[in-house]
Amino acid sequence: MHEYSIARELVETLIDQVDEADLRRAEVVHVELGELRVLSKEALSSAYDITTQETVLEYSRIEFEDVELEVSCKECDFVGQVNHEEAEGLHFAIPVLSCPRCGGPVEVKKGNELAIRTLTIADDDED
Amino acid sequence: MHDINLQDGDVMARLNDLAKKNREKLKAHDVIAINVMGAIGSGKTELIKAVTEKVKGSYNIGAVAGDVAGTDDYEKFREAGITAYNLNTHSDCHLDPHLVDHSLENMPLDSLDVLFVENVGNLVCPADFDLGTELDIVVISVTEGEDMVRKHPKIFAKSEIVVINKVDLADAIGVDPEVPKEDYYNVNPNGQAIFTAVPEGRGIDELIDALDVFET
Repeated sequence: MHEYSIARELVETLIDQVDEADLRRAEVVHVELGELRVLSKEALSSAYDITTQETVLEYSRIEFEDVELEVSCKECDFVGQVNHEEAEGLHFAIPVLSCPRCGGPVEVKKGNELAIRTLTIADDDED
Repeated sequence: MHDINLQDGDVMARLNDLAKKNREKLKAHDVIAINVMGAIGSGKTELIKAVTEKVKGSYNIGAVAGDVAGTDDYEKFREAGITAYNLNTHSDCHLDPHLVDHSLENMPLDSLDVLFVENVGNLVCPADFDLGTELDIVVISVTEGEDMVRKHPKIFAKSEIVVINKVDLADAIGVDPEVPKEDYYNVNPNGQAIFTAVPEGRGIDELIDALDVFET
């Protein structure tokens, strides 16, 4: 249950970089979430709601944008998405960390994202 | 409504900066740090002790004992002659680079060659935190059952070395260690799975070779 730790970092990131007047009108925090992150969206949303209670961000919420894993192969020139393991017993498809073309080891280019892409705020006349 | 962009929206930026500082500090002191993640009771402490026993003639080994509470692992390291620091998280289910930074401040880094950072027993949360270590490994044991990899696939997909420990008990409890090994290779075909059994010393040399930080 590390989502509370992450929610605190998320709030700190917003407070550091956004004017308080904008934070007060914040409605949606758009968060990019990479496929390799081991986070529960539901738990992070809940942790964010609890962390922001009685703060300027109280009325804002998180919306997630999934970022699929993208790799580059260390042995051939492949760059792109990987295969997924969907074997019986797995509850969801798991990315296979190898080159889908040659089977070689890969470097992760995308998939570790945990970033605030944008913040949607209400205009003054919407208050 | 309108959208505004953040200058740097990376939520992990502060923690990753701390991890980078840890990495730089370890490098400045010529210490190689290994983050040992794994399940509760999988034998992380005993594995670190077993590796240390084999290499202590040539290397000075330190260990950070990361646990929610208590000094049990710390005492075991000390009794084994390992320079140790006790790191209690109190409530957190994982180590983060800030906690590791405190540990480094309290370790005699100049007199260490390799530092094991034993994470809190957990196969979910530690996977999301870069501690600034050179290498991350994951330990499970057959006593947790055959399905550990299937139940926590992402940490295994990300890990280049997985230790499947306590294989000496596999027959007694009716678990086939080949099952988690196969599950691991399904999500990480280029990784390395190692069977170990500490009481009989099985697999320890193979683990030392895989870590690739000790000249043997």
